Amino acid sequence: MLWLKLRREIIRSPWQFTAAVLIMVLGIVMFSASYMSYLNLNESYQYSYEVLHFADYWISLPGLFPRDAVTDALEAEGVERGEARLVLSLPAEVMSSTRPKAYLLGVDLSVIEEYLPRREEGPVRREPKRLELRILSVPDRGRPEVNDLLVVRGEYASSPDEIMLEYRVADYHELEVGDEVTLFAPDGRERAFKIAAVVRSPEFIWVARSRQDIFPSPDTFGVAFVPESGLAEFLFAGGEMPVNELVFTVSDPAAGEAVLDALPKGATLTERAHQVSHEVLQLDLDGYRQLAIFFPALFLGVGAMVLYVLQARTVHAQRWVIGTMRAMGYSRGAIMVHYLAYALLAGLLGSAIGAITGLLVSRWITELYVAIIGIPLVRTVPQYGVLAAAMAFGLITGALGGIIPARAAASLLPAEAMRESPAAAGKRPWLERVFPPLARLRALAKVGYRDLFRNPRRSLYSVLGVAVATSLILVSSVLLDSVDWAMRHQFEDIERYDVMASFYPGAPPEVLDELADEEGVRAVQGVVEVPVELHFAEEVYTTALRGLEPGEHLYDLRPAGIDDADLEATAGSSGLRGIVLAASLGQRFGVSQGDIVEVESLLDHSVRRFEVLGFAEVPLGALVFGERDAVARSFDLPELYTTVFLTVDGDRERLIKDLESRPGVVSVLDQANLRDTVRQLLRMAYAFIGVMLLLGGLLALAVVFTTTMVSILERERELATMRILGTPSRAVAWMVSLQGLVLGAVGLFLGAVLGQVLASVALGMWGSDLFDFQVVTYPRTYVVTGLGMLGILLLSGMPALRRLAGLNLAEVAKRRED
Amino acid sequence: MSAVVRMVGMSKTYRMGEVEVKALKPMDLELGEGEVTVVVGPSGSGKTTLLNLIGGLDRPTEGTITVAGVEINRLDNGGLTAYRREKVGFIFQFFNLIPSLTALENVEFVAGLVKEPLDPRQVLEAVGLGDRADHFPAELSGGEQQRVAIARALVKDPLLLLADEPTGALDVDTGVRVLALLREAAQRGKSVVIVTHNSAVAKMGDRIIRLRDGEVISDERIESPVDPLEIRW
Repeated sequence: MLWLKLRREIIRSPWQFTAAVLIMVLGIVMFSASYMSYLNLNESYQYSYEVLHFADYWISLPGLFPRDAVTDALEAEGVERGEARLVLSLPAEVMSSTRPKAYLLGVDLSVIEEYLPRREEGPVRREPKRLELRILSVPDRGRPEVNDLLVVRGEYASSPDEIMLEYRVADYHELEVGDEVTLFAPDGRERAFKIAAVVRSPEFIWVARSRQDIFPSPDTFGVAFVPESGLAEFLFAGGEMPVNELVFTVSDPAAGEAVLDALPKGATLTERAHQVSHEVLQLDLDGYRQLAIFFPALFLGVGAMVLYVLQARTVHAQRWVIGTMRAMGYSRGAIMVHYLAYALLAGLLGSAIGAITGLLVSRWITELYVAIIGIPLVRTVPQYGVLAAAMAFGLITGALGGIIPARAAASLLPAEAMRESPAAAGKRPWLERVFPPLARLRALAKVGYRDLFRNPRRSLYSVLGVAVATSLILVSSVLLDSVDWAMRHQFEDIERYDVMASFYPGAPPEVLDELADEEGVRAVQGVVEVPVELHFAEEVYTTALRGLEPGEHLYDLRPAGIDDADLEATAGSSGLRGIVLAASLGQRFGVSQGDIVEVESLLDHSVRRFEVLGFAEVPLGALVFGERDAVARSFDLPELYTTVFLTVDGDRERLIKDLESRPGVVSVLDQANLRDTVRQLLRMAYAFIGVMLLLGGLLALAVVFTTTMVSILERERELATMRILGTPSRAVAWMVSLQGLVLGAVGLFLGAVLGQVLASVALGMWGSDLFDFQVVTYPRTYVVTGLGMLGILLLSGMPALRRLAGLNLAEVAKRRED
Repeated sequence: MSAVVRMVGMSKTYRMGEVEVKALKPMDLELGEGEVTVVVGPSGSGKTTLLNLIGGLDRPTEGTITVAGVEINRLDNGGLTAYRREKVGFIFQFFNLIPSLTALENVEFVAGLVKEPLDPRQVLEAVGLGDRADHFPAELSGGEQQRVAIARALVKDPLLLLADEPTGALDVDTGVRVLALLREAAQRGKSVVIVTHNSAVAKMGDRIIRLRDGEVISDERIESPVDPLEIRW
């Protein structure tokens, strides 16, 4: 019979039940979809690493060594598989397609190609393109023991004149098996290699040039693999190819240090956790996992609150029914189960629908992610655990929301329950004592604001409902604003150049003068970059020291908080007096202004000690900065510029071609092109965030609808009495709406604060030396969120107001006090 | 005694699902100025329906109901709201005071709705609650709350005072004092209608209308009504 009662109550207020179930569905879909995709992705990474024998350690040698001089170290106990190889960057030239590219920051966007500019149809036009290739040697004898390659197209290289290209650079330039890649040796010789295969590598699932440049464009940077014999012929006149890196897997983690100890001094060890590609992906995956718990927990917390509000109201309204049931002989347990059942049913139904939907959505997310990131091998895992967890979370949420009202119902004494409840308390609110003119307001206005204080529980629910809803909407928007701001800050405020040319070993000052005189060139800035290792108390960090000339602002640190005077202050009489660190490095290594940091040049391994004079707030690229000439003097460098920035107001294409044809130019980056694509990507990100906003908005609507409805239902008799006494229904509607808006405004404010905190927590999950995002909220976000919430408040109050307008006044006025 | 309310052929039929319920069968009735009319009858006899129709909370299915020359069955919702505001004072069994307003503010609430109200404080003093004016409903006894409700009804100086079981939630001593206030209102020219199933209350009426199954089964005029303070139940 109690089940029949429950069923009828659900049928009588279908929207209320639907709202509760919808909230649960949203939370469970978010959890199951994101957690299942997380597990699939994690499994795919592990599977790729396992099959392709991803290394546990990398040891960079302090120069070139004959293979036999270092491979003995790999005999150390605990080493499973090992390789000695040559890794170097060389200028290269390919015949690149001229069609627009579906890549940004090294990420393949072809899966969302429909949002990108349409490619021209017809035959591919090609032109020579200069870029930097990271060349890794692969054994002649067969596949590498460690860091094996997955051949996507073609055949594994077997002859000295063959090369294998990592798939991103191949796809970007639309290069196919059989096409040629020309490599340029440091001494100017060149040699054409035929593409034997397009491959994927476990070391370059995320292609990074270095820790400081984790978003190189495949336009100017790529990875390629060449048989040892090919490199020996090309670079070492057919002699034996020396090596400069060891990679190995271990069965015992101590083996890493053991191998290092057996190698010449100056060799540096990198464990898997700090391998750039792995670390970027792990950061991404960890952040994803945390968000997969964080957002759903938020949604389910809201779900529990809504169920509590609904059930508390039901129990209060049904005091008489509960008393009667108890009087008839129903046990406390039966009453408790009955009032808990509504919440549990909402939880169960919501989690069942949510888990199944989540399973379908997770497949789509996994496919999209795999396609965008380019995971070599995909393996999905059975999701029974997540499905079970989703169902459990649904039930737990239902139980959490329903248990307190159900216990309250079960503990009611029959006589007490059937007695008329005392008159609702009313008292002069504190606000009126603080601000006496309020007492002189018209009676209707007084009812309006005193009601807000009369039942703090009711007001609190409304405020919390709006606050949580606002924070849910805001958190996605703030994340986007922060990323948008960081990208614009990086690519528009700090990196203000249009074209960046990298030189090896460097460009003399005359080249800068020549470039400045070129037609269409507006400004030129030359910088010096020294690859360095920073030695902190316990850790070593590889980065670059960038020497900048004060007064030249194509790479501008002023928006990052470092002005020309700060930069000048780094220069001393005989070289650098101090340095400026990227703020993310300061945070990561706990360095403060005034601390001394040891800086080792990776060019000659000389070590200098500098005082930290300040920190630059740069979102990307954890570099070290100093005054240009002082940097050169400190490290005894010739007067050469390793990187030249240019702004262009003429024919950019022609200038880039001209730069690429200059001797010593390793690569030329079209920053303006990148900037356009960043804007485009951000527009697409808005679409993605739009989905999050839609979910947040739906949740907000359900939450605010429920709290508003309950708030009005609880006062139905009071409001009906006002109407009987002759208050126009419009005035009552206004009063109720204004109450909603006032509580909404408080909720909005709290929600704005909560949203900032949540966004900050979410960004913190991603923060590292690789990305340094500040929490930024654009004013328009507040305006749009505020207006959106206003709309939601008004919309969600409408059904309740309509119900109020259609009340049977006589019937409601005769009810006992709720 | 001139008629304030005139009902001609007035009936009310409800639909409850498939079932048609004749709450009031066609009736002709007039209520006079300064008269206390007590409507008695068992549950479901149509007492409250009659009160709701007179008070403009509901519309008759057939017939007309004219109050002070205005056929209120023709009024739209806005017109009925204005009618209730200007002409009718309601007194409920459970008082229905607005919890967030003090006794005086509850009276002022209604005073603020009409053009020429009486002085709220004076009205509150008249019902014996001058010293409780600043108390909230939760701080007042049931009798005091009902007296506030009467003051709230009187402050607009209405033509009609409609009371639905005004003593239903009160003890006898408190109840008779409330009835005495209603008698005083009638003496000041109000037409007072009291709906009750307490036959003892009927003794104070100038007129007793008995209903059963939606029909008037008797309409009795009393020459010498009992002083409310002498009633006991």
